[in-house]
Amino acid sequence: MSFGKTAAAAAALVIMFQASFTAAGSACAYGAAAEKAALAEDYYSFEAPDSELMSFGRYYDKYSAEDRPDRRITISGGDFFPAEDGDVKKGSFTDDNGEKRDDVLLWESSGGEVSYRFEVPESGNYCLAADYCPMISNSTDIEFSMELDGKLPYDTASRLTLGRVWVNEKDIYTDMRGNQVRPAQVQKQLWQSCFFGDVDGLFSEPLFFYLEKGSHVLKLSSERAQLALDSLCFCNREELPSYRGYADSAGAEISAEETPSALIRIEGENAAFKSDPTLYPTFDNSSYLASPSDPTKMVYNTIGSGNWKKALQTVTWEIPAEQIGAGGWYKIGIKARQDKIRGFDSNRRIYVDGKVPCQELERVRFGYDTEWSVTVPKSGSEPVYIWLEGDRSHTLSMEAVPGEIGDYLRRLEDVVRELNTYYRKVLMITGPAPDKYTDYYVHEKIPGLVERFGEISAELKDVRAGIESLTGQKGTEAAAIENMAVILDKCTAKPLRIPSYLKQIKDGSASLSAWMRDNRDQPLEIDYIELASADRSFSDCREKLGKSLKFGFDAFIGSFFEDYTTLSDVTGEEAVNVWVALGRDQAQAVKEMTENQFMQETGIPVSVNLVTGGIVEASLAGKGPDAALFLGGEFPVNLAARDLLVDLSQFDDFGEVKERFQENAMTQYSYNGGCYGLPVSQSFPMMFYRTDVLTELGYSSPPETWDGLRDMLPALQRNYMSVGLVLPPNDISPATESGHTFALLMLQKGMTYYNEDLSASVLDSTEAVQSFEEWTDFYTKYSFEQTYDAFSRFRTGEYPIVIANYTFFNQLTAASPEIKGLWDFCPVPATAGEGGSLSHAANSNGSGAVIFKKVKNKENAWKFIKWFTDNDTQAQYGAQTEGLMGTLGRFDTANTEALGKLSWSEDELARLRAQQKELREIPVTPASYAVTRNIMNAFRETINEKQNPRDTLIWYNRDINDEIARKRRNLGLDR
Amino acid sequence: MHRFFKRAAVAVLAALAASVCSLGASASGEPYESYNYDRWGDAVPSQAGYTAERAVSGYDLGVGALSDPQDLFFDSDNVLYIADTGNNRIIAADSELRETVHVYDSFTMPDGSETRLNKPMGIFVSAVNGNIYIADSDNSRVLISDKDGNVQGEITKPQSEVYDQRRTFLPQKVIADKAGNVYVVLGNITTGAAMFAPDGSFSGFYGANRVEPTAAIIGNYIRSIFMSDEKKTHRTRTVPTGITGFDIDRDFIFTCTASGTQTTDTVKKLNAAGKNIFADLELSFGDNTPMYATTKNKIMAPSIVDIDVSTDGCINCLDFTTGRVFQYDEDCNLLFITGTLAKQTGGFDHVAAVESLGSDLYVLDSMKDTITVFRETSFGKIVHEAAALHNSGYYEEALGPWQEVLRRDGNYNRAYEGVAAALLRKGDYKGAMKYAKLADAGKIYNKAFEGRRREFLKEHFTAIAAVLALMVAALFAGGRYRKKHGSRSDVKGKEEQP
Repeated sequence: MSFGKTAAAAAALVIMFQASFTAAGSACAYGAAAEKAALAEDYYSFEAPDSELMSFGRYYDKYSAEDRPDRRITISGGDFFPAEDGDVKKGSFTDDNGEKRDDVLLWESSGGEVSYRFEVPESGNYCLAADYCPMISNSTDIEFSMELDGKLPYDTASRLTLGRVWVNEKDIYTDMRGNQVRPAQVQKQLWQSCFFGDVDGLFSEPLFFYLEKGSHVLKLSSERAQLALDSLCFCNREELPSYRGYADSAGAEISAEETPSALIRIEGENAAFKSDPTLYPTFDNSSYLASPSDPTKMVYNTIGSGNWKKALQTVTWEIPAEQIGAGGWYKIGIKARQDKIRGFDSNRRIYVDGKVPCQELERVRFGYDTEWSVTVPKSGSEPVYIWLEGDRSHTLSMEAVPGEIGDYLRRLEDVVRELNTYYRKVLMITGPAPDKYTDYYVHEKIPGLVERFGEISAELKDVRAGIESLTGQKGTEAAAIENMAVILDKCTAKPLRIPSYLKQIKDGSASLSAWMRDNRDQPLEIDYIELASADRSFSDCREKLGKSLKFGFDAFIGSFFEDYTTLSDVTGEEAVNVWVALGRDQAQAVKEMTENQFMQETGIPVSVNLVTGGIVEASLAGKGPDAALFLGGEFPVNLAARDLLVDLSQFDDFGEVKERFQENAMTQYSYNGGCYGLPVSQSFPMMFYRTDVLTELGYSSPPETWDGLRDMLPALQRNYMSVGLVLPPNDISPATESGHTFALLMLQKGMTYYNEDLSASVLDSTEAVQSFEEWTDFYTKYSFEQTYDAFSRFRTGEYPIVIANYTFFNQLTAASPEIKGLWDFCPVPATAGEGGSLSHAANSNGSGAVIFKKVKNKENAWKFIKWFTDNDTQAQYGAQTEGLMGTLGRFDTANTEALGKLSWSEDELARLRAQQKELREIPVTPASYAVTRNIMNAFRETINEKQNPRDTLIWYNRDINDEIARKRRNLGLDR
Repeated sequence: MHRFFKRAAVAVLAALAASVCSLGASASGEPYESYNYDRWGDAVPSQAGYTAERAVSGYDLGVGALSDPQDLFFDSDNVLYIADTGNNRIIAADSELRETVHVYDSFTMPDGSETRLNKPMGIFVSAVNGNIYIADSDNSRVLISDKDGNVQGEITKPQSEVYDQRRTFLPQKVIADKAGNVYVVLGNITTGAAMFAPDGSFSGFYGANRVEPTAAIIGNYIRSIFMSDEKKTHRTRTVPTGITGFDIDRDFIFTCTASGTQTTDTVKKLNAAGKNIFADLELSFGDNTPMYATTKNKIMAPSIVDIDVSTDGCINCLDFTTGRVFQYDEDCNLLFITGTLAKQTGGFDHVAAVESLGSDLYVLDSMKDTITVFRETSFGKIVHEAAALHNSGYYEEALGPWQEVLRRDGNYNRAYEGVAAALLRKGDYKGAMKYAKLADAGKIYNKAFEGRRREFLKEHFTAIAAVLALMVAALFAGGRYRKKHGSRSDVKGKEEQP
């Protein structure tokens, strides 16, 4: 990694000016990106990850028996070796609470590396703790790769993670209609102290490192740093006292019985700090039991629903000083719900003031229940009381930790690895499609196969029994394990039939992997936490019929009167009525920005409404909006053809506004010479690849061209892997899907589906036929799958190359931590043109802003959509949605400059820009529906009925041209 | 009247074509009558696509007599490599087969020592790295050498547990793909070709045949479901026939299997994943109905010993039993049948290998120790042109050549299909229906019929609509009439009486 000098210069400014710092940082990122984009070949090579690396599970088995010396080896953050590129330095840092620490490491750029030398006085296992303060950055957490004496000790060390501190930007507030609004999540700079834990969620203990006595060198390198590091410490966790020990040593002035009567309730959604931006306030508006609740209005009353499940995710609440009074002993009641994974416990470690008080709070279990229930940590049958000193506020934190299931998951991991080895060996003999009449006798050819299958089956049954004793019930939870054991038993019973069970073995091990992935999650949703003195009991959360009925009745009645679509209170004749087709949170963000900025600046009233679908019908009935945002696909052109939209190209400054977007982005909004929309979102395809898998297969770069891709197929397919291409879903959209393989091939040959004036198709041209053959060959000759789950196949490495929308990045980042750093993305494969020039052309898909003809004041509506698509508004909206939903909510803005201001790293942005530059579009016409559908018909006939591709395409092209001609006659474009 | 003329014209044409055909057949001077198959699968006389030009012996090449040669291969520079098995050498000759370029009888190992061949059975030259791959059978190795005879590598019996160590390692044929993977057909292995990664490590078996599901096999299979394992071990094992030869064409590997009994998977087209693309098509290779040869007292079931894919995609299958080369286009439609068992030039004794260069065919006979060169006839040229255009979907462009084919040989079944497809594309549905019927091409007929029906409806829509309207009106009026004049049964009764 290299660093822009400007970044260092910007970082040299005082960090407290956060706003200016981030702005400077991203501006520099943009410049660097442009520079990088020139070197296109950069994306086509990667550093080979070390495949020999041990997993932490293996490392644990090897070293866990070693001593754990009771020593602390502290390394001061400022004592690093002078790094050559000099982007880290020593200095002092003050956090947002005003706490200043001197001689710390200031790591202000996102990338870089530092090294430390330290002495180990006694050989043994040491955990690693860090005292650090995250700086405001555009990544959700801090990631390191740590080498000890120039070597990664195990794979998890390449993705050590420290959390940043996220807070609600402001308290949950209520809009004019009484609905609560979710605040965005923003970062805070606060000093933190914690151990490095296992991000994979298998070990609840912190990671450890075996260190020999003597001098060592530690190197941290990162691409997502930006922190102030006070110190690192090799040490071991202190033995936690038992509850008795804790109670005796707490230094309490009074006993539990003497504590003044109190019941303190802390609402979950009001958490003070969170380690992850996805831990935003969530809601349960379905029952009166959630606190607070309302039958008709939107209320944010819980935290964590669906998102609080990954290991190390921590939520911290503040217990205000005034509620505790003079101090006392309190028991803890947590009203929570784990309704996501049937039969399993979800586990949390509870910290009070940053420390786990006693063993009983090390791992608190929350059982599976579809209803809310109160969990009270207990010691024996007694609730655990914690001592809260008076006259100061305290914090209570809960961290997601793996439960006992972690051990079983580790055993399963070994089983799956071994099964895959045997699977491959059998395949070497039988090939991928064994003949059922051939006697392969694989069990004779592979020594020990049957015995080992028997042992694995026994191991699986043991694990299953263990899991059932954990969950306390038999049945569906461990079905995947049971199935695998049954298959293996069949194989041992009739070894001759092993080849016919091959597919089942493979599917079985895939579902085992999936099961392991899902069940390491620790989902939990919290409504509130209560602290009660000994004489008080916790609030009841059992459902009462009367109250429940009343709530339901109120909600029912309310549904007649409550307007769910209108977000703003702006009304009146002059108001521009805007429909947005979005989720409620995003729509709310649009509304806020409109009211706080646009209306303030221009004085034009705008009413934002949340309406999904039905816009064509409403418009034809005369009840449509004046303008619509996020209207995509074929709608703009179809509405324009029906003369319902305003031609935007008639506005004087249209030419100027157009410059904000990719040069071809207007194609999808153009009809008959006019332009009927401004692009808002635009997503385009990229090629995602697994660096580890490709390295293993002997490649040092992803394929740059389609020929290159085809050349890779033998190696991939021999290893029973394949490539994922984009194929339209069954409901074919008239607007061509982004990344549609046929479209890519056509565009790369400089063609679209239509001729210049869109009066006929060009599917009978040589290029079209050639593209169609290339496309269908992937399925007829290279046996590609037509449907596949890109996300899970990519995760397992079965599809090491997948072409997908670039938003796939967000999904991978957010939901597959185990392959962090093992994948990358680059522009789609290219077609070589004449003279060897490569075209990576691809088409995009998006949605736009349109103005309807019925609008009173065209100029006002124009001003509004101009404002909404401008650089700053788009960047701000992007930041808002990412703040609301985390990485998954990263906005695919169509504004090219705003894209650079979202939280893409320099390198990622450079890759995106390389593809963005080459976007070409396939026009949308009123007859598009017949075009895309017939292309798919031709495709299916070629594949399924093995017809000649050229003949089939040309046969269907006749229907396509008939339909184009008919539509054009109907719409009066042709006489 | 018009129709009559058309029919007459076709009859005359057919007669003409037939006479031309018989002329062609007799004029070619081959020691056999060339034939092809008609729409019913019966053999009919046909024009020859190839004519034997000459037979080349080792003396012609100036290297003395060949001895039991087993394989031929043309490299990318058009040099022909001959595996002169009995003489333990490889001969490289120029494309005209006029002179020898190089004789390889010993090779230099990387350590400087000499190594000699022992019964080399197969030869392959990679277009990517220019290396010569030799299936050095009796030395149990595959020798990889550059063109100067310096050994680049050696593949010997894999030590992998997946390879049955009791089996010997007898390489028969060898090829390499462009990634450098090496595939070796082994003498006594039936589970497909052994596949080696570019670094020489064994990576499994590739492209095994399926067992032909005969009644006995299926019966056995069903019985084995109920059989104990112990019993099964005493039972004969069902294994497929091993593959005999192969050729590589870009990303695909074609295999053939010489077996008098097996008809499943005799010719396969395999993709990288090892999937047989021909598996789902019902194809047969070689003669349709095996002949009973009275002189030899045996049924002449086809036994395809070698396969070759020419640059234009045609698949040449060499049948050992009949000494014939069956040539198919890339979609496995039979184009030509060439050669026979005979003493004369153009006839064979023990065919061993087939190879093609441009439009020429080369057949190696291991008994006669000669290579026979076949040249494409003018008829062959037209058929190839038409088939190539047709297969790449240029139906209209193929119409002219197909019609020319029919002019010369009215029995050439495939041409009718080609003409039908072209007429369909042109929108001449009537013509397409006629030719599709002649070719027995159901799919084309269906499409043409559909088109014709649509056309008919369009043309006569007014008339049809008018008739329909009239009928509806009549029914309606009839109903009104009946209502007025009493119930239906009354009306019926009255009508029936007279």
